[in-house]
Amino acid sequence: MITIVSGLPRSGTSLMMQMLKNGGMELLTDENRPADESNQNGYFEFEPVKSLQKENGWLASAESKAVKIIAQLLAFLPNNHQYKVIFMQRPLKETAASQKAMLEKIGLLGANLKEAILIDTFTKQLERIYGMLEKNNQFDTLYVEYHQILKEPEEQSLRINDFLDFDLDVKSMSRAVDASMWHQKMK
Amino acid sequence: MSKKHKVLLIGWDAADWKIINPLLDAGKMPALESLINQGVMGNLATLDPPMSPILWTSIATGMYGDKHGILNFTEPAPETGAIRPVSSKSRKVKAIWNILGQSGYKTHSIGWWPSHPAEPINGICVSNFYQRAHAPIDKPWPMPPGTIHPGDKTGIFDKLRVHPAELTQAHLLPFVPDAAKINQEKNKSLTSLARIIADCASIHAAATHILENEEWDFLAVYYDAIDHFCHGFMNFHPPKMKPVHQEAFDLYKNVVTGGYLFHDMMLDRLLQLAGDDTTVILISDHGFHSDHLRPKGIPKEPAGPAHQHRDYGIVCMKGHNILKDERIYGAGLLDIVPTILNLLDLPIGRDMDGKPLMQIFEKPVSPQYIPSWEAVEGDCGMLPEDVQHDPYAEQEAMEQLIALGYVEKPDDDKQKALNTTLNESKYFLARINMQKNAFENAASILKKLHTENPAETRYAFYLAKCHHILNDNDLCRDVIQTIVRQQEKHFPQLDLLQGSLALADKKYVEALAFLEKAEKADPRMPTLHQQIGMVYLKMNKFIDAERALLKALEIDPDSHIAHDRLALVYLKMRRNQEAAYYALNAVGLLFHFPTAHYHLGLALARLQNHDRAAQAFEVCVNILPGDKAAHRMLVRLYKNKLNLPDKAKEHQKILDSQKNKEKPS
Repeated sequence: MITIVSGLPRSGTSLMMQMLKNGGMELLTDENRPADESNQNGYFEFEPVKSLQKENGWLASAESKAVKIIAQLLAFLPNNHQYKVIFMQRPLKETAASQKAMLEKIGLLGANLKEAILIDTFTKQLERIYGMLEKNNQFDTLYVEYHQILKEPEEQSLRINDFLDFDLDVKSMSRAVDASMWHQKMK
Repeated sequence: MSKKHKVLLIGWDAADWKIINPLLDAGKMPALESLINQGVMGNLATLDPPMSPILWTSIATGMYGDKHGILNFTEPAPETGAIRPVSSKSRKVKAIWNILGQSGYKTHSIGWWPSHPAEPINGICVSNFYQRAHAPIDKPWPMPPGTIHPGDKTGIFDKLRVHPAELTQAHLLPFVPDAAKINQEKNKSLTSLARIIADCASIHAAATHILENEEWDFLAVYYDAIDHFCHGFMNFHPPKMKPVHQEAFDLYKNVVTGGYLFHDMMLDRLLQLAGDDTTVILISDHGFHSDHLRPKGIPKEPAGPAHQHRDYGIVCMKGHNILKDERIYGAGLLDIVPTILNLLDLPIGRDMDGKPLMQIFEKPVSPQYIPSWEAVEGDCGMLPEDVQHDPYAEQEAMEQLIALGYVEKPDDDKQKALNTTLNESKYFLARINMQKNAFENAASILKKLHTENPAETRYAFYLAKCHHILNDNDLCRDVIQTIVRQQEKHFPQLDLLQGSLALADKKYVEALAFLEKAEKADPRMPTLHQQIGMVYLKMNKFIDAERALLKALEIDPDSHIAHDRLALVYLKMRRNQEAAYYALNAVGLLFHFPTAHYHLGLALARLQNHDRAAQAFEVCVNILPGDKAAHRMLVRLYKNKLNLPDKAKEHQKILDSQKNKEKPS
């Protein structure tokens, strides 16, 4: 069984990885992208994930571990593994704004789309992804709201532990939540 | 409950009257001849850019490409970073089979471009991925998933397909009688030919199966074979082109004709199965140059073969309340769906860009309108919303994920193909905007393309054209200079544009110098002589203008611009009968041509045919509501000649309100 932390970029996936690490779960990561202003506690990424469409042999090393895979790449997971997916959800306006802020910090241009169209595009992508997760037996999915984690970290940590059927240190998990990491609070 | 009239819509990609007419005269296309004799026929004006997936979707929706969303042969596949053939998922609006399905008609669609994946319409949808054999005959040849709707019909349609390897000499010899002379190890022309014929036969088998075995009210079937025959073999069609070797000419000179005769045989069977009560509409999306206008070479650019396309395809219709043995004029691709809706007493969407062809009717049918069929609720058989997508927006979203470092950039080859697709789609969108007279939109797109791709002359050339049309002549000159600096060899089209620029600046001698330079390079360049004619017209050298425009028409008898300019020359010379003749030709070729309607109105007014003059001016202002000259003529005619003071007042009111808008505040 492979645990996957997924969602759109900037939806709280790094926070969830931090929580799982605190809780005692082994993560599949490398240090390719170090912590920075946009993710002060680190990204918890594994570089080969980025080319999942082409190469997935590394998945064997993800068994019994948690790995971060963004939502758009889930469709490329092969069906010879079972996956428990913790899918992070955050209001798309915030997610888009957070992505924009991160791009500005690294000095890159993002999508040449009006925000409303970008959000609409992400919405449609998410609908397709949710449909795929529901239809395919190799996925078991728990949807976690980012703001609920900030609001009630312990309850959500319990929920996640139940889902994973693990013996995570729930208290340590909830201590990973730090409201100051919420860069793009929408007023 | 009224009886539903059946409609059979047949698409023959690239079919052209120029090739058909001699075959009809020789009695070699009896099925088409019978269709023509029982109905109406005419030219069908294409759209720019003349790219088939864009055109066939415009035909099926009645809308330009900026509305329907199909912009190219390929589209981005954001999930893989690659490109894929353009798909039905990208179409944003309803096609005629969706509208009719929603209105209670049993509808079927076969092989339309693009139509994969097949839509869940209330009848059968066979996608354009159906016919192509992608494995040898001794290997499995499954259809890609989503080729047939409903899925339980897959088995039946699977068996109807024809594999190219099934064809024998008997099938190929009518096309290439000396096929035995071809060394098939070195020359794969017979393989290509077999593939075209087999694909076509598969589509035809699917169509006839449905007509024979299924309940139907509407069937749309698309044959792409004539286009393939022409792209592959038109250079060998008589008369022999100079660069073509005699041996090759002798081998392949019958292929194009053979293709048309094959289609006539298939048409015969379709008409038989459709029955006498069915309305049959046969169309093509563009023509195909088959004479001295065949281009000498194909430019090395994406979709370069489209330079072989001609501006006029064919339309032929017969059925309930349609005139018999009549010619129609001014029809365009966008008019097919509004005409079908009008025929079936269904409303036309005001957001459709075409108009119903009223001239086809025995008894006129007043069109009804609704704001849009997109707003009509109910199951219409379009792909589910979660399947439909905008591949360009998705690609931009994917670019964002790549920039954020979450997805790997595609490798260089994939990135190159992707960039080409994205750029060309934007380029085609710009040309669509130009076709719609939205030149500012077009210029905005082209400016960005030109900045990002300075070496791509086509983008710069069209940007220069936009600036010229928008009277931004300084900007036009700047762009022309960048082209001049970059061009490696002489580019006569640029001389033509520079000539137009000089003409706009009233520098007639300079304009003639550029145009003569272009003429030396390419004496039979389409549009050149009509531009020379215009320069002489502006110089009041009417005899020279007449000579140049007659030359333009000798090169291309279907140039609506040359006809209109000649009308203007004759108006200046007070040869009003000839002016009316050529103006009528112009609007007959392109109805959406307000200037030509104005010239026609002038000529008819001078000939004292005031009623018809008023009609012509009314059409002009209908297309171009701001045309003050036409409104002024209408005021004069209604007041002084036709004794219709109320109508005169109406147009005077419009003139007055235009004047008030122009007054500085």
